[in-house]
Amino acid sequence: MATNVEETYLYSSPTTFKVSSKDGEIFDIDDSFINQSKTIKNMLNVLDIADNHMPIPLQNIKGTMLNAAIVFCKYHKNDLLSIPDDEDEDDFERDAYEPRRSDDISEWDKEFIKQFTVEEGTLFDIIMAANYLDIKALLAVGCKTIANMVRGKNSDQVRQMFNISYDPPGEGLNTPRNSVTSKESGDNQLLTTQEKESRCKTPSPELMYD
Amino acid sequence: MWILELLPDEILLRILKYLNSFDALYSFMKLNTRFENLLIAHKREINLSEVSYQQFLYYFEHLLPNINEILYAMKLGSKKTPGQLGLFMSKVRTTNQFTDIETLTIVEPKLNELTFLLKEFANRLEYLSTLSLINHTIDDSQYLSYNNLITQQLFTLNTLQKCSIYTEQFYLNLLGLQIISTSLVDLELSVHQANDFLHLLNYIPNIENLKITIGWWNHDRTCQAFVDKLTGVPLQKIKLFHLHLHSIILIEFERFNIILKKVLNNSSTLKNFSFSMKSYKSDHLLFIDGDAWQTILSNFSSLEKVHLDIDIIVDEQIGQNYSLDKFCTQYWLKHKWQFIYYFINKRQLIVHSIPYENHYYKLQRKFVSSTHDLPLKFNGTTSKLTIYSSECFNQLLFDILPFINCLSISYSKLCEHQQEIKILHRLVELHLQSFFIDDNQYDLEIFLKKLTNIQWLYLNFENQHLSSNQIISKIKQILSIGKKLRCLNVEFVKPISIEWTVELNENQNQIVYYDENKRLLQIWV
Repeated sequence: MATNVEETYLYSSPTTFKVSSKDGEIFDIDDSFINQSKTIKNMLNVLDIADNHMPIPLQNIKGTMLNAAIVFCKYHKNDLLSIPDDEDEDDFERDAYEPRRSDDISEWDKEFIKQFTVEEGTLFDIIMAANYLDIKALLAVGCKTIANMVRGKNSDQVRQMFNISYDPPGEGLNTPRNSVTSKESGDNQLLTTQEKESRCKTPSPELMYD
Repeated sequence: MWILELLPDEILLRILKYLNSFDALYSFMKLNTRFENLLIAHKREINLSEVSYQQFLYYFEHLLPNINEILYAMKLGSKKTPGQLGLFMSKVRTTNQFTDIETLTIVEPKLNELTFLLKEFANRLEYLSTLSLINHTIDDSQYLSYNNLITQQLFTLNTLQKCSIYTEQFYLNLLGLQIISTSLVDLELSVHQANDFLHLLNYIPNIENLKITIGWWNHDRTCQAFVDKLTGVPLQKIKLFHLHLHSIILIEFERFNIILKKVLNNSSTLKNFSFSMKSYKSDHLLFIDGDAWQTILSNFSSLEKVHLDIDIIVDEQIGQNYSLDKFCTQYWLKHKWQFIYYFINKRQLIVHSIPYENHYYKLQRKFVSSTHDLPLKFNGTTSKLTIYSSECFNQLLFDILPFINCLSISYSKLCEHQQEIKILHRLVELHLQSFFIDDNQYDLEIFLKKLTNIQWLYLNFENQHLSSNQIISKIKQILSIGKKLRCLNVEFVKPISIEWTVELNENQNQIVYYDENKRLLQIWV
């Protein structure tokens, strides 16, 4: 039967299906979404979905994010298939020292991603949704956006911007050895003694060793 | 609610891949143990060849002391950071830093810099196993010294296993080679003539991967003498063999076959064979003959991959009748080695295997075949475009330009299209040929204000009719506007005597280099 579904998907387009989000919202998806989401594509190829009126449950994704991903895929439905982002690792012409380009986000994508913010956590929501749905282009836009946000900012600023926690007291970078190294390097990174449970909150820094 | 720290490692690593080693370390180092671990790849390989002057100093003061123990690969170079190699040398001359370096890449060193790096620095690196030298601009007067330095020093590095020397116009004369390297297993370089290649074979007994470009192949008596001198089986352990003949003067396929037989000697270890050539003579037809190649290749029992790329001039009549029939016999089909051919014009025939592994080549070919009349070079990995002044912008170029981050163009051509300049907003590197000052019509400052991401600016400055003050003022203006500028490289058409270090001394955060001939000004910001 699975083969039949695959054949159905492969050969009788356009095909629409329904998907339901974590919070119960139901959306129609068509080829534009299926072709770009490897997860959905694989699901359709593996699952026996005889009735395309029954929504496919996507329990990890909120409705707002699923809707945004569908909008993104609709806009990009006619994009030429480019070299997938993670498949150029084998390109022997690639300079190992060169980072991937992040300045090539299109104007539409820039506007699209602006609706998601760090403060509300929605930028990470859409990245996680793209990752779960395996939509390479959307995942790339999200990751590039974060890379562009941090470029040029020092680690203090990055810690503040993303609310990044310190190591617990006496562990990791807060061990005496690491702290001394840090001080010698003059890196302006103040190490703190914070409680483990305070992870994910930005504590006020204090010096371990004066 | 999601926060950055809750993202899984694979996503954080993906984000880090969009940052170069400096940006990643500057932004994420010393945050917490998890980020320290995620940064390991950036701590192990650093690229100093594209950093700004301030970033370079920051590396030495703050970053390197923390990563020195695990650092194993480093890229150095003065092409985009003028004076950087000199500064690097002064910093490492008296220290024992970087002793664990295994991989060293050097870009465009000057002769004295390369001398230090090969004779002193590389000799200190007891684990050095990979060395790459990229050098496209070698002054004719220094050719001999470069050549001697490379041929004498390279083979004395007894830990070196892999070595690549990429040069465009510089072909090594290896006839002076006298030291046998038993450690080298992987070698890529360009040599002057077939004789140099044949001589080299006596000094690399353990080579497994060999990629050789031969500048000129002229088969004569001397060449035959070198073939005769080859003792035993020269490439006993060869697994990958690539031969590129840049310009063939005279060679018969039969003689070529004899040499290959002598060199590879029916190798049973050879798995990957590739050959490319460009010939301007029309009597090399056997190089596009499938049967002739089958005769050669069928001697290698372990062969898995074959790539051919033959660019050849043929008579119009022969061209019209050419077919790939001889590349479609049982032999070729069995191995799944497939070919394609096409004409650039009526006489220039290109036959090559598909898919061709070289990414740059593939893109270039694609462009050549679809837009062969366009004067552009497109390199997919760096998105580099060169537009020659005589040509017009057309729709295809306009489609490409927004994605370009490196452009080489004449100043007048850029001025003609000043209205569309915004589409070049992604430019990071700009080479302006024939740059001139004409305040009545055009103004580079206006362009630079729109092209806010420019980090490397190269000017070919037509300064014949300008006073020193005009030139100084223009350079200062450019430096003040280019906020992200890391390097300003100015080549003056007319030599000019200006004490640049005095004129630009108000800014201590830069290195100024002005060459003895008074024609090249380089500022590393």
